[in-house]
Amino acid sequence: MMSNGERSRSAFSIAQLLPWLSSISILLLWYFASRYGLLQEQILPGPNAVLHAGWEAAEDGSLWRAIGASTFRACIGSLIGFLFAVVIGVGAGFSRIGELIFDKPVQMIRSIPFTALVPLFILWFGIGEEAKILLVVWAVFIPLYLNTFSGIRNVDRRLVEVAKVYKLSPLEISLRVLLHGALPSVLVGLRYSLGLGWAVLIVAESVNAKNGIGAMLSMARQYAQTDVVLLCISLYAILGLITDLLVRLLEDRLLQWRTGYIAQ
Amino acid sequence: MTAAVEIRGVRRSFADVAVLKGVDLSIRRGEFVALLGRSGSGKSTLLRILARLDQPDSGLVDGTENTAVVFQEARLLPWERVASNVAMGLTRAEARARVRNALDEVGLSHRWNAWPATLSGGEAQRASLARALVREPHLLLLDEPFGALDALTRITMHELIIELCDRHRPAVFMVTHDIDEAIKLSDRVLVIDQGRIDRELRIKRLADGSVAPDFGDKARADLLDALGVNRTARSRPVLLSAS
Ligand SMILES: Nc1ncnc2c1ncn2[C@@H]1O[C@H](COP(=O)(O)OP(=O)(O)OP(=O)(O)O)[C@@H](O)[C@H]1O
Ligand SMILES: [Mg+2]
Repeated sequence: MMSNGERSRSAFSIAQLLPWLSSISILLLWYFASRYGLLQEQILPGPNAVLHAGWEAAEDGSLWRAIGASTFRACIGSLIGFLFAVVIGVGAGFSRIGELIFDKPVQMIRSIPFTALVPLFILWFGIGEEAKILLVVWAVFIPLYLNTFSGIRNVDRRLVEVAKVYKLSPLEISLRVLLHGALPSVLVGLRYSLGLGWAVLIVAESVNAKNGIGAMLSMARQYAQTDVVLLCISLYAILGLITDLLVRLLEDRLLQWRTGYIAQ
Repeated sequence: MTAAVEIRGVRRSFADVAVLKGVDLSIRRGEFVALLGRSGSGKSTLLRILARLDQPDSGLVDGTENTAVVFQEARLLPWERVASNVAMGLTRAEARARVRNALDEVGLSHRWNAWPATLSGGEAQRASLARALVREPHLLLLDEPFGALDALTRITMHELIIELCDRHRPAVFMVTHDIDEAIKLSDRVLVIDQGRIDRELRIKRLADGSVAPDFGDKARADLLDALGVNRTARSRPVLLSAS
């Protein structure tokens, strides 16, 4: 049993290292390729050039302003989208009437690609914050609503029956039984929708914004600053990773009860 | 003593199939009634009507609404720890005073902080029993509560339920497939067939609570007959029919 445990632990650590090793190898390959002139500076500058661009942007403060503006929009938009999705998802999942009112419209609008909404929202709201925040709300709302709704529908009805026997109120049943039971699905939806939220935001900002990562990106494209373009892409990747990490932490905290199943 | 629960002329059909065709039943406080019947004969349907989880198409249901149910599966909320599951529906003050006690009674106080997924089948069922008893129900409904347990655990659970029912004296209605279990636990055994209570048998007990062997044999034969099981095909019923 000991050796079995140890074997699985060492297999685990190798499995943990491999993605890092491969990522680092790619970075090194990129670095040496550019160092020995295999890459054209205008097409693909080396990683050190990207770092340098980042350093400069950090020194003159433009980096932090861009990250700040984008993060602000992402947070506000995600928060609003999240609240709508969960409230409406629970409403539609809990009651037949709620489903009749909400589910059909959402199922209809879900097929509209958000990129098609960018020009419309810009026409309506101009270049203010509203258009960008609303696009994030949209992007976060749709997948999160769908996951919340289906998560609630998959909660074991027999648990709801028990809650009724012990006279929990409809609100308690929605929160304590349905929403809680839907949580694994809600969190999957959350991770997906936050990623989508960032994507929409960058598109919206690069079409039309004075600040933010997307604006920095489109400016850099106009002046053919490939290193800054790459910097923006890296920022996007990093912010996405951080978002993912936060949701994972949330999952670890909120889904503790499932570790019992995993351990078995 | 007046009935804790009483139903008269209860009918229930599903899509034109009449499952209950006029059932009368009355259970006194402290009385233990067992219901036998073939699979699909409407036992759970009747229990759900008593639990007010379902409405009869016609007929009268009267009596206490202070009801608790233990189902074949424990039905604990997997995302709440044992103590919080047991406290379901209680106020905070009630929970603080009673949950500990209820878990003690079923011998599960050391697992109060466990996730349901980590409980064994018998432990989960004991938690479910604690959740039922913690609110001192006037009517305790059991739908094949031991059906999923192994034979040994089932015997322990029988002892436990006898002891707890003696102490709390609720009216008990238990659905089971196991004739010996019905005879061992109850004061009265009913058999449902063709949508009606088809037979009723009072169990005579000796002073120590046990059933006289010859009475037990006769009761068993009677109930097998009511269930339409040919006695020669199964001359001696399996004492603990493990499922
Ligand atoms: N919600 C429902 N919709 C349709 N039919 C149902 C429903 N509930 C029960 N039935 C039917 O009613 C009949 C009686 O079901 P019930 O669950 O009461 O049987 P039971 O005696 O408890 O059987 P078992 O011993 O197998 O648990 C069955 O034929 C079942 O298919
Ligand atoms: Mg049944």
